[in-house]
Amino acid sequence: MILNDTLLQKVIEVALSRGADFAEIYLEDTRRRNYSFLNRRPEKAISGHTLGAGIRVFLGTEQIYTFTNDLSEEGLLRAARQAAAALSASNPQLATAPQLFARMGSTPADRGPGGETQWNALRLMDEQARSVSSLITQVQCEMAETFKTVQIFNSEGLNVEEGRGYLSALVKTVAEENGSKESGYERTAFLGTADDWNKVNFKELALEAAGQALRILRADWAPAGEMPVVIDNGFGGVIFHEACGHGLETTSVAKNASVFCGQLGQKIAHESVTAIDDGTLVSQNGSLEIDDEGEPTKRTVLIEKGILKSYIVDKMGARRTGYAVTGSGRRQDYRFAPTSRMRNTFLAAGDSTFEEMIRDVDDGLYAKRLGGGSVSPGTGSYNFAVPEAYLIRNGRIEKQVKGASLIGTGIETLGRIVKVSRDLKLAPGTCGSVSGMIPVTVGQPQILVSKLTVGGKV
Amino acid sequence: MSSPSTSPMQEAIEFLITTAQSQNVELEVLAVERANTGISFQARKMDQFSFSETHQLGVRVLDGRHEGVAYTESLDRDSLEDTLSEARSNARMIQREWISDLTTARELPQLAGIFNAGLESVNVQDKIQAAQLLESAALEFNPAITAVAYTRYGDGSATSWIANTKGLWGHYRKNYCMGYTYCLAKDGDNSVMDGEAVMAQDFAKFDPKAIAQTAAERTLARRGAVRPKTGKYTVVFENRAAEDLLGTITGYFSAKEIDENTSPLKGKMGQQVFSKHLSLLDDPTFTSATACRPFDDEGFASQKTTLVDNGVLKSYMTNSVLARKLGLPHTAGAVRSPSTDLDASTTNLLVRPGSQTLHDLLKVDQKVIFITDLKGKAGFRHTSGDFSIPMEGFLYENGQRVVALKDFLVSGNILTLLAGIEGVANDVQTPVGNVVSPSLMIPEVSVSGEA
Repeated sequence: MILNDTLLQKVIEVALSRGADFAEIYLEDTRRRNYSFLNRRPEKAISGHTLGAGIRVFLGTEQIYTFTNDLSEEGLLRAARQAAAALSASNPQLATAPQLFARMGSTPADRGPGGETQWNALRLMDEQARSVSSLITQVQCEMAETFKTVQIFNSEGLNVEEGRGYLSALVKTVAEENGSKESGYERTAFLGTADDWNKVNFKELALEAAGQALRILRADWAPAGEMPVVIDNGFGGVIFHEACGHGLETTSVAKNASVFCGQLGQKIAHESVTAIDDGTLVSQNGSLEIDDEGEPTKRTVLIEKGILKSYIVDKMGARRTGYAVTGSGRRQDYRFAPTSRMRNTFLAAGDSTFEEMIRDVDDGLYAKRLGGGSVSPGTGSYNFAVPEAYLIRNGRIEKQVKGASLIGTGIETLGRIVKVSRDLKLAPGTCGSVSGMIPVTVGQPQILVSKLTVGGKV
Repeated sequence: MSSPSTSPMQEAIEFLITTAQSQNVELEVLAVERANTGISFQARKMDQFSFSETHQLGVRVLDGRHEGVAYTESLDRDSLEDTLSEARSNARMIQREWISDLTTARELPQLAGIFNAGLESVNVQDKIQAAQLLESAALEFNPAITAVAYTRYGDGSATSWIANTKGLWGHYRKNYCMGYTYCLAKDGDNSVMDGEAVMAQDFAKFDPKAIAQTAAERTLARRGAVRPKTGKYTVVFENRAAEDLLGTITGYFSAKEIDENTSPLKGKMGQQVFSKHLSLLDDPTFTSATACRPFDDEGFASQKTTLVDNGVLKSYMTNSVLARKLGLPHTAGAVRSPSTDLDASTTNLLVRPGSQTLHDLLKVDQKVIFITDLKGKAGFRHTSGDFSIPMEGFLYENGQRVVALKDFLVSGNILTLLAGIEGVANDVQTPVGNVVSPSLMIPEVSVSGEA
């Protein structure tokens, strides 16, 4: 428990004192440790402590949010008074005893002497990446451990607390040849504490990052134009996350700023498409026991055989749209009011095979590795970088190309997914939106999109 | 050295300095205190109102070649002691190839024009009214505007502190207000979106109605857009789009990237790297842009640095450590936040304006693509400079706007693109970030659209 119930109850009463019909306190106590290895040696070690409270009040669909680092009684009451004063009647329920949700491991307070486990893993990644080729001229590796405790207390009698441990490791490489430079990048991220580093295959991460830089270094530019595209499984799922997922969040739907508004029960995708947003998966990067509004997380079927089944709904989104909450209220930290956000979002497995898809394409692109991307939910337009792609000619994967981008709109693309493979894979990611940067998982089996615009070089 | 009435932050900094001195530890403290307001309207009702008061304090411990960082948001004595202890423990794990030095005590300069006391006394009701206008003035501008997708009024003030065990002590305060509006309009079966954002330091000069109306105008102009034919075009980047484009290369000037071998400008000092029409200045004293500051994050007085003069690379940005390590001039370019390690980077990047008008540039060729927006920069490869970025704009023929353009990508290499600049306009605007550029004209640019 970060703060005692008596104080929190007092804060809630003050927050409600000017007519709000709901009040909530979100408390956060987060410890972080980051280790970085560069130029064959330990580069930096940074430790951090984040501590703060966010106080939120509702009156109908109006929302007031205040946040502060001052967790003294005086500091919290001042923030609550500010929130209350910002409104233009209510009987709070007394909170029950705090309900403690699963703590995912112990706090990361104990590290071995000198962070030996971490530095050994970083050194191993550096050596492995460099061992691939003398063309690898730079390697940077990082490991991060975060342990977050959140406590949520509201005027509906909710009093819950959860501990969340996050681990991530990444390798960045630079390869050089004849004056050209290219980079490679590989990362893993999942729920766990320092005791769980033994679950990571550091060697594999390093070899992939090095291999990638070398492969891109020798690739020609991608062609430009419209063509069928096979998108790989795992991180390829970012295309659904961006192209459709954001447009299903009530953050956009409630404002009528999504192309998916009013489409519930309608066919919005090819019948081969079933999409799920699931916060309940074990140890995945976007998993939770409770969301950042204290709601138990869920598995939410968004699209079933092409039919839109559900939006992604937070508490305020539910007030504004009338849809039931889906346990999807998330935020980066106490500096952000929660909004509807994705958790672990993926396309379900279909019945095709990767080989069949490639065989079906005469002249197209195999997008093996997608990079970052973005979407405008209001228009549905998205764009993605494809750092690693291959041309498909007459049913065979041919030479590698670089510099490809995919652009399109979510609805159009959903209608053009004509094959979905059996081989579902998930991959961790970080999603940025109005309530900050949050850990998520994306995923999909390999998919064949019958026509997409590929941007390359003329 | 502190004033007679000390704040909790001053007390925390003094406590850390005294504790470190008693432990014979060399220590630098960076701290920030912030107060922010944000208000947004949706469908003519207040949608969100937020305000906050936060602080963060970070320490950097130096012990010979050892260096460690830790930060906290809790200023009680136990937390401060824990933070110092974590930083010392981190320092024991890190051994540098060089020895860092703390800046010695000195008179730290102030920079006029970065704090406007009047902005601190703006009435909350006036802020709410501004937020309301940012939405309503767009909706009322034209019935074709169907919704305002994103809008917000915001303001903030920040006090930054620096102190170290060698007696350095200083702080400065900055504030701003800002607003943005992004509108949606129907265009057949589809929607189009565009908007406007403005930053200001004087609330009296902040005009929410004008922001909303410009946003609405820009959105309506996007209707009827077509895809351009794939090919090579003369392209003009509108000033805001040029700023966005140049934002991709600011890291190339960092001496840290030179040291880490990730900048394509490594080894090119004194060479013609860009077009002779392009000159770039780093100016932390330019108070209209967001990265202005009287001194850098090691406590050295801000200075202007010519990075590129008529296309020739003249300088990288260095802090005291990298300047010494790489044998480069020191440009007072230290950048660090309480939660990060010492780095070096550009502050405000200013492009020297040319003498031509935007209209001059738009009529240099029979067909010109006028680019008004970069739609996400995920397709930019930092290390090589290769890019393939979706953009939006308009087709001009003989200097006249013909049609809006959508769904096309501009591809190439950023160094080659900037080497090809043939025209620089004189239309610099008040910036909304830390890159300030007029419109730029480049011939023979690769555009992929319709076959």
